[in-house]
Amino acid sequence: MGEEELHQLVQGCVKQDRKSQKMLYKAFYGFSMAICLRYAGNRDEAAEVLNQGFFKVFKNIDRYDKDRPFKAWLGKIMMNVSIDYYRANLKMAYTEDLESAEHISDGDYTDKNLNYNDLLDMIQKLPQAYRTVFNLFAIDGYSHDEIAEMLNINAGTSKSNLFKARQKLKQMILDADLRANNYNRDIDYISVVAINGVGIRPSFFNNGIRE
Amino acid sequence: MKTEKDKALDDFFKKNLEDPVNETGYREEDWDALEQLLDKPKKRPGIVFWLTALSSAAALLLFFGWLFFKSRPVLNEQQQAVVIHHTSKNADLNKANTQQSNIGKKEELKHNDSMLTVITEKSAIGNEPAKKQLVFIGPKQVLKNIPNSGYKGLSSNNNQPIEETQYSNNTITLAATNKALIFKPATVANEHTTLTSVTNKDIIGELHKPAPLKEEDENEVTKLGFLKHPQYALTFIGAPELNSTTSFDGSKTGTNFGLLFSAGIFKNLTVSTGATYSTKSYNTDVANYHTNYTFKNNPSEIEADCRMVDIPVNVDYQLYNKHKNKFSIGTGLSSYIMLHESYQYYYANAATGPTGFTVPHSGKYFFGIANVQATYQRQVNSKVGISVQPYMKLPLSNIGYSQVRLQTVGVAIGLNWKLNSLTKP
Repeated sequence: MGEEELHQLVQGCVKQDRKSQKMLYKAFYGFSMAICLRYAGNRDEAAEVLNQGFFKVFKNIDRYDKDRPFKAWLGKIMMNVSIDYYRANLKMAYTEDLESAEHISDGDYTDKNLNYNDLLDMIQKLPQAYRTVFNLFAIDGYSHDEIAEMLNINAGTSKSNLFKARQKLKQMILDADLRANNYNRDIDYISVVAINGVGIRPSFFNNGIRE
Repeated sequence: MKTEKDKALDDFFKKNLEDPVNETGYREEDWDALEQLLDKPKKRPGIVFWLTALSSAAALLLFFGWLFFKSRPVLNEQQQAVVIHHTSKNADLNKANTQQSNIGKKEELKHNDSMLTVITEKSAIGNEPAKKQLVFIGPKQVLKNIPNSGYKGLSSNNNQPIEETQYSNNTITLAATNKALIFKPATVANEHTTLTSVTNKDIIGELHKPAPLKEEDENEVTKLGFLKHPQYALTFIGAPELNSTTSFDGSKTGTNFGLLFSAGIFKNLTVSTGATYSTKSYNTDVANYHTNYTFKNNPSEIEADCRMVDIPVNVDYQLYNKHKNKFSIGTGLSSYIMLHESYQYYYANAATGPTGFTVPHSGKYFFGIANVQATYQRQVNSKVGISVQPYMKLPLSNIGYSQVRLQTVGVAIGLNWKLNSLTKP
């Protein structure tokens, strides 16, 4: 979307024009959803947070400074509503102790064959408290002191949650690695017996062995 | 070493999650949900504000009402006391002149050639001695105090791009002092991705400060102050009221019910009109009764029974509109179309004369009455609301066959039905 087009849409939204609002919503849905998805536990939760974010955008659009990048402003609001959502759902958030968390090896992550959806899935599987801190620290670049202030926790808790989040993520990457290797081995084995194994899932094969 | 590995993990997630290859697809139902959110009426306001507003309005109404009726040339308390005093003092002297009326059971006293009538006991025809009443009207509803949930100050002076670097071949590299990575939409061209790193930490602090939100979009206005989407509503009202010609001492009750149509055309201004059927009965004396007919003996009391259609044209100014509560004050003019008008005459001192008269051709009185009202309206749901409206109707001209200055106070209870669905975009 061009600057001029964006400017016109924002002007329409300042006048609370419903059509402009919808066009802006559609245009930045994907961008905003990407932020909400990594803070939320699932798509529906993310959609709820996203709507809260756009609600604030439309109500406060007249305060948007046109000289600054719109996406920066929008992204910040999405992050803020995600944090609000986290705060509102603190009662539901739980923290779990990590067993054998100390001994997870660090690997080289860049060579892992993991895509956006795999990583999003991992982030979403984290308990909410870990996920929020990991997002703020690792992706949005805040310090522990800043996170402590934003989430109304102390810096120690923030560090501890980040540590646990990383351990869990490492574990998930390892598990994903293992699954991938097993799958590859299964494929190899199947190819030896000259069966086209493309459509056969490893679980199917394993089930056969157990029986 | 450990820190570096952690950093590598963080960067791995950052790199992959910040730039989704396939953005999540748009869902129409998400927009529908947001639209519902945008259309939802605001949250409920603090009880303190609107209770204060309502009581001030009620106090103002009472005060002006009192001023208005106090300034009328009527028998005030002092005069009455004097008369009563004279009654007892001169009871013996005037014994011969004083006798019980067959009709009204009233004492009549002649003093210094002026004739004064003093009501000393309840009469056979239902006239009551002067009474003073304090009527207290107040809303019973209790509302929760929920603070506004708006946000302000979304921009920040520190929100300056610190570094802007261009990379080719789709390389994504982060600026060193990054806080949040944002793509600038218009500068992406020829496989060049411009990355802008901003430090807008301050925004978040500001964003979480509550500030009053703007009015709902239903109050969108054009440059001239017209509402872009006028709000129309139908209101059914019913009201008990008090009618009188002088003060409200000895006034009689009536009813008023009908249908009003209102249109919010300007910002905060609502124009309404409609028709109500009103029964008004009142007592008056000969001094306020102006007809061509000359009574041989002036009746001591005249009782009027009128039924009419009241066509008001009112303008209301909205003082408060938050969440589900609205408070407005208004004024306007009413026209009365008489449907029935009859009078009963009661005589003192055994005097005789006509006992009653029904006006054969009732008249129409255009814009002869000024309306003053205060309205509290509470929205029950998006369509239906209820309202309480204390009002006064003050005479600008003489009304009816007898040309009386008829005044009314009442409290209308209304049921409102919003008709704005047709005007929604």
